[in-house]
Amino acid sequence: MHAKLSFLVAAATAALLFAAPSFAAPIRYEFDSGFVTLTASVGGVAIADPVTASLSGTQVTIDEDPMAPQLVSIQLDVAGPIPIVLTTPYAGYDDIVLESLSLSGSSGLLVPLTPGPPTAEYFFLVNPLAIDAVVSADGPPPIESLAVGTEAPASGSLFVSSELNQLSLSGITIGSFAPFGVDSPPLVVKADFVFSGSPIPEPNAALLFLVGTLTLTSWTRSKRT
Amino acid sequence: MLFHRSIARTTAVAALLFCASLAFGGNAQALTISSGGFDQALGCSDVACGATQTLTFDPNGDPVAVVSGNVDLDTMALTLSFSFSVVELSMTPVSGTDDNGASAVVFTNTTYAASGVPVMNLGGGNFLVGPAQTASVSGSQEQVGVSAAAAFAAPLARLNGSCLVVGDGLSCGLSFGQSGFSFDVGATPDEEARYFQHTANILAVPEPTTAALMGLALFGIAVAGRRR
Repeated sequence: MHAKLSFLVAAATAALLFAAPSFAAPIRYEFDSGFVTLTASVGGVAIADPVTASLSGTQVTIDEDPMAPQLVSIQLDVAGPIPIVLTTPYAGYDDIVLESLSLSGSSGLLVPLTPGPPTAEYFFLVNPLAIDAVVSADGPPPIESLAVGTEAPASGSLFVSSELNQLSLSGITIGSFAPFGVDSPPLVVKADFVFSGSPIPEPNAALLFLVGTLTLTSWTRSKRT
Repeated sequence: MLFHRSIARTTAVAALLFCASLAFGGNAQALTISSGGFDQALGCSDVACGATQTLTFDPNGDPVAVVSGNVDLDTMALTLSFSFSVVELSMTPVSGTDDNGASAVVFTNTTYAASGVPVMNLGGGNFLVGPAQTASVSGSQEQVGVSAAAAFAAPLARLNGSCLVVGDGLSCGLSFGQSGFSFDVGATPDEEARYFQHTANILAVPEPTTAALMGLALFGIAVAGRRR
């Protein structure tokens, strides 16, 4: 009787564990690889050659609920320092160093464009995306670790592959800084990011069910003995 | 003589009104691309971009592939139109020596164009392109080691992007593909489909507008008329 019950429970757990994901719950994807391309301009004229840097810590959580798909949160960190050599001096400076760059946002729009599987395509929009940067520059006068914060929208394409169990994202963010005071012309630092990540397993219903069943089984066993 | 002068005066007034209406009526920014270009180009597996990418833009020492053309953001009608081209964009495999026999995919004279694409005003000078917009990408592509240069056309490549207006300057980031922009790479047809994604960072400055040119011409005519 107990053996039969245990078998049924195990079968149900296995079914739950190995069944296709139902996307009922948001899935968090963590950074595998990715990069960001930074460009700097003033008044529509480039003042530096584009710089490419690696993303150091990135995670994206999406909810693929067909009734209400949404981008739950996005976090992108760029490892510094990133020297931006200016081909045209800006506010008297020949180069700027981005000590760190962090972008984060929540409650983004997720619009299905091409249904999957194998690959579903979404349009995403996060507005605002909070941008926190720490910049420094050699003198005169030297600027050390100046925190610059701004907000900008981020939008782009998001692909979810069921074959690779992977999310990839190519987005475009534009941020406008005035790092050296209001008198300086706005410096547009534009960041493109390309990202690819895998889902992070979380203790899901199936695992909880399995733990509960095991406890119940052992409890029944101990009661019998 | 009098008749001529009155005609000249009426024409001048009409022209001035026309210029004023052009200058203050619309808010279209017809801009010429001053600098910038492609800083991202990816070729992907047949499933997704990202970690599985097999080709990437090889800048050959140049940080970007320079684009030329024009872009017109109408901030009143909320539309974006553009047409620009890149002379050469060479993509080489990230790892290994080739991708299904191709040591590089070279795009030549690629033109990216769209007209009257709706944009959304997000405030703060930010304009969003999308969702679900398309643009045409056409030119020729050569698969080095596999096939010679051949024409290609992707009339409905996915278009994503955003534009930022700061003063007179315009900065746009536009991404083409990967949906609607794919073809086979290598000798085996239908099994080695590669999605492509090209991203352009465009910086644009205002061009001498039609209104300004016309105003100048009319001013010249008026001066000439006065002399006579």
